[in-house]
Amino acid sequence: MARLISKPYWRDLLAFGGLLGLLFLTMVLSLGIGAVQFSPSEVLQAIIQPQHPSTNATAVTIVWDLRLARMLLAALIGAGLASAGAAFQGLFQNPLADPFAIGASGGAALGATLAIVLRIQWQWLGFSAVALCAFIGALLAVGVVYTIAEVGGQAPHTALLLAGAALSTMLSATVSLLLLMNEQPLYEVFAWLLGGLSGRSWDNLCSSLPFVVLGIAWLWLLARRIDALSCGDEVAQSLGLSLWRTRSAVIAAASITTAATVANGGIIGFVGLIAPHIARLLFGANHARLIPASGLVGAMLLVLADTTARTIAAPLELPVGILTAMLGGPFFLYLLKRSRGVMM
Amino acid sequence: MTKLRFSRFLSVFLLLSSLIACGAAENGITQAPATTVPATATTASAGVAPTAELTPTATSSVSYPLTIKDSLGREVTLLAAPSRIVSLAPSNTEILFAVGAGDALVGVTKYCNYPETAKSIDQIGGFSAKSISLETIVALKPDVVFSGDESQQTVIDALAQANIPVIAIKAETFEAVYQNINLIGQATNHPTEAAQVVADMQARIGAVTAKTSTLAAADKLSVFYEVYDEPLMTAGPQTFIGQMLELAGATNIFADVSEEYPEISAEEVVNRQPAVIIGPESHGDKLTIDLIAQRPGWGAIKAVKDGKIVVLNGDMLSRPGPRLADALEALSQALYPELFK
Repeated sequence: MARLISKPYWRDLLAFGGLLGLLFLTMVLSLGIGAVQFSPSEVLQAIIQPQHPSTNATAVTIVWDLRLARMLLAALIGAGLASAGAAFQGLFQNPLADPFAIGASGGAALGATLAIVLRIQWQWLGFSAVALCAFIGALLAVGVVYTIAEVGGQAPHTALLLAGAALSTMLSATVSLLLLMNEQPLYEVFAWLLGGLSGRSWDNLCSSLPFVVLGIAWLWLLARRIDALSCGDEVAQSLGLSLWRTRSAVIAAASITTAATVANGGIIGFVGLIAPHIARLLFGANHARLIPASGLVGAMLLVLADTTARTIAAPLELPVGILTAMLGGPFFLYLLKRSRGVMM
Repeated sequence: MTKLRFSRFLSVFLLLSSLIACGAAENGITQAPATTVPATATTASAGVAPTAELTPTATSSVSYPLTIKDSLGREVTLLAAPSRIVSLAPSNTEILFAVGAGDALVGVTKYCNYPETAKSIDQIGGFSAKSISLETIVALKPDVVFSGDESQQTVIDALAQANIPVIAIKAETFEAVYQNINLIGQATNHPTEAAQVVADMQARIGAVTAKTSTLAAADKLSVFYEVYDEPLMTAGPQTFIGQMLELAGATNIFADVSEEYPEISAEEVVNRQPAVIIGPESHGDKLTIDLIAQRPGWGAIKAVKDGKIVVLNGDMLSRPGPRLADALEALSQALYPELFK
């Protein structure tokens, strides 16, 4: 698709419609692939008419109980990570920023590890104990980074990114230490750290859904302000924006989104970094279009990656985080080469 | 920016699976006067025939200095019967107690929980090389250390540097376990007891397989063995659990995997319809029929519909030591109670 620079309204509609159609097609195909294969028509019939006598009963069990919730969760997590990534790239004016740029991953990892090692049993709003601790850990870590980097009512980019990197390193070291002292749950933690949707179901989807939807909507409402911020502080200030309030809002919205995805998917890398770049190539840098477009691209990428993760080595499952890096990496490098490094 | 040191995690993780060590054991014992015991070829199937070469003579005492070839092919010389022993693996601890050398144990890992008296011995750390305290071992002044496999290589090398004899023990077949028991019996001057332990194990395992081998193919139960729930893991055919399922006359629904403890998809479990689900009691969440039935889609599995969930002691099933016979008896009786009436 050519890069649409001055796009009239209908072309936007067409492009979004095309992306949505592609996502829907990906989803239907994904639901048909696995230990047992189903055709797209069997999948749709199992979803639309599960009670109908002519519907294949095995298809209903497998699609409804095992694949649908997991696939929707993959789409939700992909969308959340990509939208948060797009917002952070704009906020920091940094093409390398991703949803974990300011410490969310380290905090989530420590939270999840503590929950697993200490066998914490709290549950809240449908979150399992591990998910809840990861959620809280991610938000706490971002809060700490924000508090440290906030200098005189401003949160300069460099300070935020550095504080995020330092805190992540510290938290990761703490995770390693906890695991050295407790070898038993090691594999459970390790699998969580690599990110994966194995065994995820409706509970996981329902607990993440409100936060991710709210976060993406909030980011979308902030889109015009992120546009201003990504032009540089002077420009944003001359437009009458309160830098501090805007930054705080973007960080809060993106971090809630990221924390809710990490809670139920573990640390899935790369989607939040590359999906915004793909969306930018298709839709330009206007955040009102870029944030929803990144979400759609991210959803598609993660649905594809998770389908691959559960089928490529059948009957084994691979952690989806490995797949996103392996599938996303070369593609990202190709984009980089094609656009000659002009990624922002 | 996740800068997690995955390599470190992985290396530690690999140690988890080393309770069930890999590689064929090649043990030989050289005594003065030299009677070289040839290494018996190990077969993938669990050997139940007694190995004649290793049955010690009635003299039942070992003469020192004794040179031993351990599981890693290392030559170790013991100058006298050891009176202070350190064990770096729960399976070694169980073997040492079984052959009557438990009194000489002065250091064990924190996972050495069997027999009960092992819990009161000083602990030298965990099972992974990183969590073992060399200083604690050295301070205990052991005459010999019985270590695990290559995963503890750094510890083995460091102890060798400190002139402490280390005998590495690993096994991936029943045959290798018998050899290890005899080797530990020789090294600790308990050869007769060791031979007795092996003979008992072989007799009990033989009694089970005599019954289970009569099962017609149609009567064999298909089994899903759940090592862990989050992530969902099973045991491949090369593990002791996998071999035990075969000896017990069961069909492992994941007999086609080459990994030891692979992560598998729930969809495959539902698709392969096991008649029985078995798991260790030391599982993440306790394995119960209610919990399993709650998992999405699992209600459609035959084992869940019939309520056939068996919970066994995981330590017993996975430690290459004398309790493998107990584990096989428990497993086969749970699967085919009518055969063992």
